[in-house]
Amino acid sequence: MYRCSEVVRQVSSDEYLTPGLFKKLQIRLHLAMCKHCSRYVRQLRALAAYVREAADGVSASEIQRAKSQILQRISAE
Amino acid sequence: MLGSARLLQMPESNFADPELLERLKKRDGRAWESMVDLYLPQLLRAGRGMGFSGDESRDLAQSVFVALMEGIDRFEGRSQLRTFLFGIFYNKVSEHLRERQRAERNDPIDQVMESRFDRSGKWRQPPLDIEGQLVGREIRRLVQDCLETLPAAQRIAFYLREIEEITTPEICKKMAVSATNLGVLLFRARNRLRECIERKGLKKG
Repeated sequence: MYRCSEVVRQVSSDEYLTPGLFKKLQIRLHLAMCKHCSRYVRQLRALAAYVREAADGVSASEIQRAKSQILQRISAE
Repeated sequence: MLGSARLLQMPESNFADPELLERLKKRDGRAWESMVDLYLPQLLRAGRGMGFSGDESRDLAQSVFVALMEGIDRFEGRSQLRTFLFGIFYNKVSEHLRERQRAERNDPIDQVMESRFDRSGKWRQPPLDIEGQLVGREIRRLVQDCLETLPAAQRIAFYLREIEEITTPEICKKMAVSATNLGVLLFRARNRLRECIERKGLKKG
């Protein structure tokens, strides 16, 4: 049975994705029973979603402005 | 996070096309404009995903295109132009932050994480209820502030894994780091972010 510190390490380093018999199963089992660890994992997932959202929020006008600046700059090269 | 990785939605483009490459090398304005059209949105997105401001992202993207123009004669078309371009981008990010792309030996987050658990590996200080205490808008702002505090290598690793959703072996190849090293980078990036948001958002100083 994995300890909390080990679950946290495996999940946040993506080590749980590497091959290993029963590893994922053990982690799932732990998460099902441990409210602290499941909150932790939920938070990591939410964090990634927030960053993704910020990245996807680049507007068309922002792109247009950057484009004209860059074209001007590289045509000077 | 436990789901399967979405593949890159970005088109790989036709830039192995020798004719177009030739035009780029001849500094053909149209060809360069189509390059900018194709890759600029991706570069801006990457900049944002790494916690850079709009202005910083734009400056980074610009320096990438300038470097590409300077280096295009050395590009032989053996790899995708996108790979080449993003290679330049990651170097520029590290240059911008004046850091190397690999993991440092020590990072304060390692001690912070150790102190979170007792000797038997149980939570001594469990994660606080961030989502219950803060609204989305506050978290979004904190995420932005906290991303800015991450070292270059951690930002790049986090970006490639979480935004581009590339598999870890692919990231190792792109960043030229070992799997162990990448694990350390991801561990630190994710935990630094989480800790930073918890500290700034809930402990109020």
